[in-house]
Amino acid sequence: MSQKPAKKDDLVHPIARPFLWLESKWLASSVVWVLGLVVVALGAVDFFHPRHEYLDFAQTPGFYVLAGFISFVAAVMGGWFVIRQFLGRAENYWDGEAGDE
Amino acid sequence: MSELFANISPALPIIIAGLIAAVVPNNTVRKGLALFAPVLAGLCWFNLEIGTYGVIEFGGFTLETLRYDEISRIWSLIFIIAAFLNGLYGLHEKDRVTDAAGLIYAGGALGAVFAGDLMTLFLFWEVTAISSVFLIWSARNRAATKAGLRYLAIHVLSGVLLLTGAVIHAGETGSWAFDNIGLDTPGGFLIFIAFGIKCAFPFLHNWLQDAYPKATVVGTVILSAFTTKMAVYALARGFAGEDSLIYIGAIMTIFPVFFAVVENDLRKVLAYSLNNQLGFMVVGIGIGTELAINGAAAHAFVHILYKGLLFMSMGAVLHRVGTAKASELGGLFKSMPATTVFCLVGSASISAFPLFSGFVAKSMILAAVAQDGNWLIWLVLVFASAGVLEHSGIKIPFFAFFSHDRGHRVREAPVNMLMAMGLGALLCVYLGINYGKLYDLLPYQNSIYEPYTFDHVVGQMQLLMGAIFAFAVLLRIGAYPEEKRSVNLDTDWVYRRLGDGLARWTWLMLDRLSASAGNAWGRLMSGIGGRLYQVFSPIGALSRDIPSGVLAIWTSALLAVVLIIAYFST
Repeated sequence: MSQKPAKKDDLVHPIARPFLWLESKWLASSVVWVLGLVVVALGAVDFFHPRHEYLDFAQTPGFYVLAGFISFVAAVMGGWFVIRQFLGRAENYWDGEAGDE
Repeated sequence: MSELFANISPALPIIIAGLIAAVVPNNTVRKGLALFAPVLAGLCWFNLEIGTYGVIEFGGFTLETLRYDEISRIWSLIFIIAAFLNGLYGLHEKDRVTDAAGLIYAGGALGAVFAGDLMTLFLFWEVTAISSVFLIWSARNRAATKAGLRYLAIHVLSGVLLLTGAVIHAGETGSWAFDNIGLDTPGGFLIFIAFGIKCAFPFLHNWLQDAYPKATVVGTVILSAFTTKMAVYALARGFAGEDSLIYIGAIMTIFPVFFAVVENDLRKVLAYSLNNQLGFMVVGIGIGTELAINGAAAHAFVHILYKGLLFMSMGAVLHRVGTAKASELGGLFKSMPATTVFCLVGSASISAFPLFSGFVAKSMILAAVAQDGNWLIWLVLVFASAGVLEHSGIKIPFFAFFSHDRGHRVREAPVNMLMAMGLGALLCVYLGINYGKLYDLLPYQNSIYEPYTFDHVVGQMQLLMGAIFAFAVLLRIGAYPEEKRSVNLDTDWVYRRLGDGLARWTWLMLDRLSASAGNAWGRLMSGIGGRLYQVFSPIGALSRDIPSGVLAIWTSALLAVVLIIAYFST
């Protein structure tokens, strides 16, 4: 009598089982909209509550939201188009040294 | 009981424990020492009173080995906490070299923090350099051996510069005291560079990203705590208010962000992130106001905790999965849920989410920069804050524990690792909420700062959520770079390829020159030898039969010359 092989998800840690929805497709597709709403709501606070900052331009409504968004995109694009394009090399570039393994 | 530990340097029990661990083959004893020594050091720390102790006369120098004041107080406490957490994290590992080196290294860093003079600082500076390299070599592979040699070379250089600078500085000022040094003298400049190497200044930084990821799982965690923060302490002590540090620090916050974005090795991502965080501290020291120095000290304190926590979580992943490459990881929250939560706490802390430790520390530095009216540097730090979120807040947990499930079904991290991560995470949250305990340790108690204002909380959430939204958008439209197996050239290319190539070319040229010179010399000698042979050999000119008449003439001539000389010499 042969035993059925364990399915991959049978090996999931019991504590992690209730959180498997984190991999669901609906979450992946809706998270951007949810985050968008949160960002708009947070940005709107500035229109109701005047900000007190040491630097005047930081008091502009939505400044921090825009700063966060633009900085993140700039960091990713800078890394992608400058570092990887010009400085990226094959993993065994250093005499076959592959790092942690 | 308390008198027993009064005014004993906390460095002492840790270094002694390390020396004992080096000769004790029993693993249980060594692990006991790794936990007990930091506890003993903590008892010593709690019984210290402000003042200078442990003054030793040695070789004509007065060594002040225990200066306990408002600045060394906070740094020494976090070093002791880190030593304990590291000992706990490494309990599962049976490696005498790591046990001994880790303790001596931690004790050396503590000794440097307590140093009241430049000679004592130099001695402990070298102790940390030499002991820490064994944490890299403990990996026992070719890459780690070579990286360790490079690491040792640059850290010995730092020590040489420190000693040379100290000698010149003492000659110029007549004092070996380790206080404000400044850049007015050549000695001060050399000391500044020595500190800059350990602090990973731009272009002097790459030893960090080169060596740390190649150390053992436990070794990397230990390394992340001490060297660089010891250098930050040294800068705060010797160069507070030095304007150039503002710009150096600002560059340090920016450039690692770009490298971290596309780095595949997640431990190397954390090494770049470490560099970026050091930048914030260096800017604070450069500003030099009480608020800024407090910010740098607070940031160093919490940074050791959350960076250690992040390195621990990636170490746990490497320990269980066998790799820390983002391209090979994903979906690990299913196998390592506790490690995932601890990593997320570390990520939230380094990203400075409200209620986490980074929020109450980093904001002091930004506030000090804004108060200084330096809007450009402030903007740079805002950009860098979003960058921190990118690499340490999102990339690390997302690619290791979520993202594409690579099918790794491994066991959760060992219990001792979980305990160390749990304690680290607890401190990250505790200090984020009960920040008064942290502020009580800061050097300047008159500088009042309130982190939980409506403006600060909302502004920080706006910044972070704006950045997270950007990540979601980039991911959705496929504009986020995929993780792929690769390396990125950094300044180490200069000495690993350019320098190495130049050295090989020079060697080759010298070899050819030597061969050519050898040939020319050979030809010359052959020519001279040939001529001499022609004259003196059995078949040479002088061996020919010479008529006796000719010899008589020559002998007479020589006699005449001798007589003339003898006549005139009288």
